[in-house]
Amino acid sequence: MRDEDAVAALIDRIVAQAHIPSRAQRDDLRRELWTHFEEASGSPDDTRDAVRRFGAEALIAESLRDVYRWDYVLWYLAKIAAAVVASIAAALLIEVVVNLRVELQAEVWRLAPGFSRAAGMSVAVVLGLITVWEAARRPFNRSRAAIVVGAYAAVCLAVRLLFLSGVGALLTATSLVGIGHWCSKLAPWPSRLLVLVCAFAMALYVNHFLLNVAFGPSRALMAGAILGAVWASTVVILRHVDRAFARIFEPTES
Amino acid sequence: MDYDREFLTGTVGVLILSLLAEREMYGYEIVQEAGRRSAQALQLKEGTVYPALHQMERNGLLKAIWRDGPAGRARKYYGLTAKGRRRAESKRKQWASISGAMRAILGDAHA
Repeated sequence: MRDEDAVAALIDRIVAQAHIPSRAQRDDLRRELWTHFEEASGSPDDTRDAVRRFGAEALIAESLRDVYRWDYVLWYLAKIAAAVVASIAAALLIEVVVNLRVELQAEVWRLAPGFSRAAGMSVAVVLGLITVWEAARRPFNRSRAAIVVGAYAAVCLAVRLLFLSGVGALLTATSLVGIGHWCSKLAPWPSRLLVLVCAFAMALYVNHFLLNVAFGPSRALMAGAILGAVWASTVVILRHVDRAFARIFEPTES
Repeated sequence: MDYDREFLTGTVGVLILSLLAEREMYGYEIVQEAGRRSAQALQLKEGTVYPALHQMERNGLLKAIWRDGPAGRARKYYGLTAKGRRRAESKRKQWASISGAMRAILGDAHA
């Protein structure tokens, strides 16, 4: 690699690791660092010396990241808000579609009686999945994981205070998310969804059996399939939102 | 001379504000000027000056502008804002007080 290319690569790495959300500011920093090396180096030996004098790349990138940390945090919160809103909207849409009933004689559309409970469970699963998704993101970050799990716990606590009946649903949803997360590591994509639906159905069946609530295997399978659809739609949304978020910080061509 | 990193922490800001109180400079020029005035005793890792400059610019202490330098090449020049001038003066006084106290403790031979 030519010295000039090595310097350009070094600058690109620093700019990328600085997590600066504004393209104009990234370009400005790149141009500033480039002019620094332009002046600091004349010959190849000078260039190598300039790179050495410049200091540790990771340390400088980290210091720059600190400078722009709040911009990053704001974008990250916006990303989470977008993921939550879009995923809940998709989950509710799925629940509405499967719970919509038509009374032909009266020509009335109405939602099945169990809609609100099913919708509540779907929303809880969505929130749990987003929590696991962010907490387990690589590279693993202990503070991020603690914050998202704490936020999920706060939501659970708020539900506990507002709707006493919602606690059982949240516990069920949390266990379903655990099962779903475990299943998502098992098999490749199409069979993974099948395993996930079966696991959800089995968990719901056992849960209702333990609570002495009538819930046949076919109903459990249906409910598992619906939750599987909610899970899949949330995963698709999270991937899209993640890609959009990553694009904000992508380095631009110099 | 190699200094402890902790020892230099906080001095970069004072140094930048003091140099920019005299005139506008760009990053590399600040590093060179610090080295020249300290007879190369104070040689910063050059890259460390940029996070400090950006932080101070975001805090409203500095304003930056791209313009051609003496060699005709465009450089990003930093200058103090009114807030930066007040901060520079305050830091200079703090530094004078601390260095005076240190001199008194260590003795003139070690200061």
